[in-house]
Amino acid sequence: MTFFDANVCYGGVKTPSQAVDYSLDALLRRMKEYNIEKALVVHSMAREHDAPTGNELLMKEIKGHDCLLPVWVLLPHHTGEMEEPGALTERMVKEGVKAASMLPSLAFHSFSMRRWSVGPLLDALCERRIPLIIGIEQVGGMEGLAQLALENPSLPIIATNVAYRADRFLYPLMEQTKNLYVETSSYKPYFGLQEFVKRFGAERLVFGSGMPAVDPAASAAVVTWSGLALEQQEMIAHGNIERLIGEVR
Amino acid sequence: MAEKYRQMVLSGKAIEGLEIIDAHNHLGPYFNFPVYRQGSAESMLERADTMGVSKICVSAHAAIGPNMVWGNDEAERAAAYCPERVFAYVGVKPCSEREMLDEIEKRFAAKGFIGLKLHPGLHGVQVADNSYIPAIEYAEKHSLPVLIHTWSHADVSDLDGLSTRFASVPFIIAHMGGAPDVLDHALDVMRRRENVFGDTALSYAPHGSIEYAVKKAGAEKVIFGTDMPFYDPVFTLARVVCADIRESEIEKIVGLNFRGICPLIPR
Ligand SMILES: [Zn+2]
Repeated sequence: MTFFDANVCYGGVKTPSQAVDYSLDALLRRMKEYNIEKALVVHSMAREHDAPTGNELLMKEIKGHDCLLPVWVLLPHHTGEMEEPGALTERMVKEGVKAASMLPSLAFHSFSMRRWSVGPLLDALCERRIPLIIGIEQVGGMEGLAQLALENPSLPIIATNVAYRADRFLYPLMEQTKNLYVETSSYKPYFGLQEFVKRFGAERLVFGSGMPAVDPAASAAVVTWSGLALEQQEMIAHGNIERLIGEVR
Repeated sequence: MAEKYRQMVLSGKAIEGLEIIDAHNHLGPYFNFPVYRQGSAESMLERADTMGVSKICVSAHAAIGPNMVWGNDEAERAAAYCPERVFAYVGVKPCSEREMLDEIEKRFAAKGFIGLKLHPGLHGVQVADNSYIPAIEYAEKHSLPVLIHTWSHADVSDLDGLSTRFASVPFIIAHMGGAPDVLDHALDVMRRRENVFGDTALSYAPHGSIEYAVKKAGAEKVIFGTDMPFYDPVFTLARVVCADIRESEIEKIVGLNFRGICPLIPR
């Protein structure tokens, strides 16, 4: 199995684990070991220091590594820290950015994900079919994810950190949306992928390793030992995300 | 070393060439979220076959929850369903000494039970709660391993104390302390106390954590467990067999260590 990874980060963090190597070199080495041919990557500085600085560093540091595709961390434009949505997304597409990420929780970048705050930004992403990758912990859990997905029904949203206890929230939400995708590195209910695919098909699951915090062996096994048919595994491992970012325009 | 197992994981093949015993399983439905296929022994063996696990050791959710007898009945039936592959812990709930000992004795008079499981967190008591002492004395008398759920410094400190008082009883710190900031504490107790082990069951998969545990506590103190069917077991096995440690260390973790403290698992 080969993978296209929708969820990796690199660079130093505020509270590192002693067991983890956060460097770009370590990421590239692990990708090779686990047949991860491509990855959507965020810079830790964009998450934990300053989004524009981190995004810029990312572009500089991954240049020449064709296996890495940049993901920018976005802020709303109101405070002048980032440009107006239309100009921003135009520049993203021009620079080859394939997805956006936001960290609106109070503990991170602290802004509202409701339409009155980020409506124009989400519409601009939507217009260019740039997927938004967002952790459910950033939007106050599954209830917040539901609000985001239902209020922005055409925006492709890839939810990360959806955990094994989420299905009583997740299933009705999947039923009522077409724009929501689940990244697999935290999504590990017992027989969870089989049950999900039975109901919603294999199109709406997207492989992520969760590196460097998460062990890529674990993330790979969630797919390869899922018990799903090989073609369904291939869709989850790389096909779905290739299709999604192929639509960016 | 890990390379050949990594290729098995990447190709979706069951692990071959290792005896793998999952020392930390559950059984049955749970109140907080759906457990598909009723979390049955049959479904767990299907999952075990996918990844190459030969034996599983269950304690019923009901027994570590509201109904000890109901849960242990379920566990007994699960073990009877496939006696050469499914083994059971007696789930112990705080109750009177007589009630507890009656329950434990009844279960060990039947077939399939191999140890005790305590879940103080779900039962709202401390790990060192006095009501557990008769159960631990029973384990001492009969050389049984005691698997104890832990999630805090207080849990691990209590277990440290118990393991000193009952120095011949093998204790397993479930989840190695659980919360990330408790890990070092758990590893320290595992290293210091000869009769204390830690299991690998965790709902997340911290990168490098198996290597770290082996370095800090020794490979002989780490025991493979997955919490199945609480969540998917496969990623925990992948963490262990793909870890950058020696083959001999992997063998210890996935089976030999647990065999060493659990004489009732048949050869
Ligand atoms: Zn457990």
